[in-house]
Amino acid sequence: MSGKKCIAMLLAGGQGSRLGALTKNIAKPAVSFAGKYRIIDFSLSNCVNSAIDTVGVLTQYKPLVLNHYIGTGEAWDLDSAHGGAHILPPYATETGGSWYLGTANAIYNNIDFVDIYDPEHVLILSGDHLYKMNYADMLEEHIEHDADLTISVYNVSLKEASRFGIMSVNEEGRIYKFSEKPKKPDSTLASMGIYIFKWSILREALLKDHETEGSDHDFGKNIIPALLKEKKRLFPYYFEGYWKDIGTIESYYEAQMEMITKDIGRLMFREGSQIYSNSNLYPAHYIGKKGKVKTSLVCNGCVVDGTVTQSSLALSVIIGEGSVIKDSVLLPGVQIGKNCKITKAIVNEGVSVKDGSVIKDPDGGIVVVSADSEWAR
Amino acid sequence: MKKTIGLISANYVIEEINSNIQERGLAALPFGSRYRLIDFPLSNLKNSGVGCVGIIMPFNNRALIDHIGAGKAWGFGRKTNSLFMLPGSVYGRKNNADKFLLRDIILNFRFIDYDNADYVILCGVNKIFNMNFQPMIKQHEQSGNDLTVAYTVKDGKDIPLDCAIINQSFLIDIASWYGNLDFLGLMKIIEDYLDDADIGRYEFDSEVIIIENMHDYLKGNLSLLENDVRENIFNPDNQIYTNVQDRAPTFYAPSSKVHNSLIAAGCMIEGEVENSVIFRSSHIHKGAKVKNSVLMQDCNVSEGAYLNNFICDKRVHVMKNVRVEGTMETPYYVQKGQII
Repeated sequence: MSGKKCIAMLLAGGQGSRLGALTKNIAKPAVSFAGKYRIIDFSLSNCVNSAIDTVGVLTQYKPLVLNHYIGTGEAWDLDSAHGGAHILPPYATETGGSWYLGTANAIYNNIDFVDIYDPEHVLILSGDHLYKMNYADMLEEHIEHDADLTISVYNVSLKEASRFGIMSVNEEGRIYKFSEKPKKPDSTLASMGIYIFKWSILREALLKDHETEGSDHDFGKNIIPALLKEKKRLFPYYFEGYWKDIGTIESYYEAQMEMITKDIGRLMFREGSQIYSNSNLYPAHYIGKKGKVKTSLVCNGCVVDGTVTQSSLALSVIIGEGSVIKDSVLLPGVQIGKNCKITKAIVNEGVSVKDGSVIKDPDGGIVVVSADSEWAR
Repeated sequence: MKKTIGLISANYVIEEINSNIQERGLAALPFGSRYRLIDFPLSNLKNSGVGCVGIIMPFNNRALIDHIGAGKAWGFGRKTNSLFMLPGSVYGRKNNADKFLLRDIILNFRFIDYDNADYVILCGVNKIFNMNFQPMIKQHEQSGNDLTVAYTVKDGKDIPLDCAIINQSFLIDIASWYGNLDFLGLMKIIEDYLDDADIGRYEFDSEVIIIENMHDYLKGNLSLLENDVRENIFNPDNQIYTNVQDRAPTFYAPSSKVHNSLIAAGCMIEGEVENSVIFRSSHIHKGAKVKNSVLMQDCNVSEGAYLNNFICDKRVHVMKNVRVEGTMETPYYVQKGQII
């Protein structure tokens, strides 16, 4: 079997502990988003829309929902004969085995997997970003530059820059400096955590990194600086458009609300390439005789007998009579009783809220409602 | 356990509907925001554990083939469960007397004979109900009858569901004995020539939506707005499956006003919708009003338009300020892809 041009390795093992209750039982890439989607849908759909038919999904933290969701990868057309979606959890060997110790270590442990496909290039992705990108364009530039590594970059504000891996580029267009979360950033070119490596170069770097004592086995902290030191050819790939790294409850809520706005909603879901998902089949949603919906997203299976404004209703959400939902995000399977008043809340998957509940943070913050909240039934 | 196969006849016409929907064929008629009529018998068979199903195809079968594909959405097209698209005779283009033409059965003798089945479940496509066939199979088995026919009772009258379970050997016997009467329907032959056949009756006492003309079609769709009808037809324990298109969620603009309506995914609602059934990816612009209507997939209703008792086929574009009104009895129907 001849080698592939490019395969993708998708890092989906992170806990996302700053998302609190939302990631209590599921990995961050499996968190519900924009109604019918889960966060990982964006990366998986980007792969398929970029003609990448082989994706290794590296899982570690609470992977069961994610495994179940990805299944054979059929929902994203990733069930091809030579290729497809593969779940890659940590595994045992004759000398023991260990957890994935860092992003680079996760790939290191799956060198044998990549070797099965013998690709020329490997695309490294995070499973927790929201964006639409054609990786084929990035790969084309990568090959044109004869780059050893191409890093997708996004222009951020100077204020935000210290949260990212920041790059400096010389006149030739090559990256000569990379600093992970610098205190005093000297550029605003932020790494999006999307890399295309020549597999031969990455393979060698991973083997070396594994032998390096004290390494964090991290792409940003270890692998990229090591390649720069070796004067390898590193190039940026400039990305413009919507891109969001969901780190906190606040940024998650903000991103959910952005999907309701007409322009971003259109950009993500009604224009250009399609985002695919593996959702259950439900009948169309029903807006009842007393139901009212304005400025909101509503998915299949919903039944709305209350009033909904500025909110996102995921699959199969039930809103009881007399309830008023405002500025809120209701995840799949949520049931809101009668005469509730819910403002600026995120109601976690499958939670039933008691009749007459009033949910609102007096200080205007975001309330996360989960199964053990006082309002849950 | 006895082995049961399914045989759906899609090879018949109901002139009042077929003359409108033309090349689509009855079985592929969209219904209930995201389904087509064929989804109901197919899902009923799947939910009843029938692993081998044949569909007698109508002459106009492009839309139906496109919708069904290999049958993956219903769990067919696998190593163990298979779906067969069977040829239908050309008489189906005119036939409306009997859902099961004997010549269609003779033509597909090999399918019926093929799997050594004990029973064959026969289904039509224009009566919509959510039924698990297992109780009917059980009743048939215990009775030892040759044939059990399903009915529902409305206003004290028996209404056949075009649905029956028949012994495979009996079906094969009829096909070989009455080959020279193949222009007749199966039920007609049993009624007129087989006096001594043992025929049972199975009563189904749940929701049935019958579609025999455009009024029925509008009324049937709008009946899904009643909670008990909708919950019955789309009973989650006996799910109705369909071809999934994976559209984005529906977006409601600040100007939207929606009451008592069933709305599929991928729509953009900026105007007013009342007592209506809207299929996927339709766009109702600001200031437009849709009432007591069915809009199929990808319709576009421009600003200021007013539609009442209206059936809009796929991809219809309604221009600005157009007012169209039918009545419940004779809804206004616009063919696929038209601009009005």
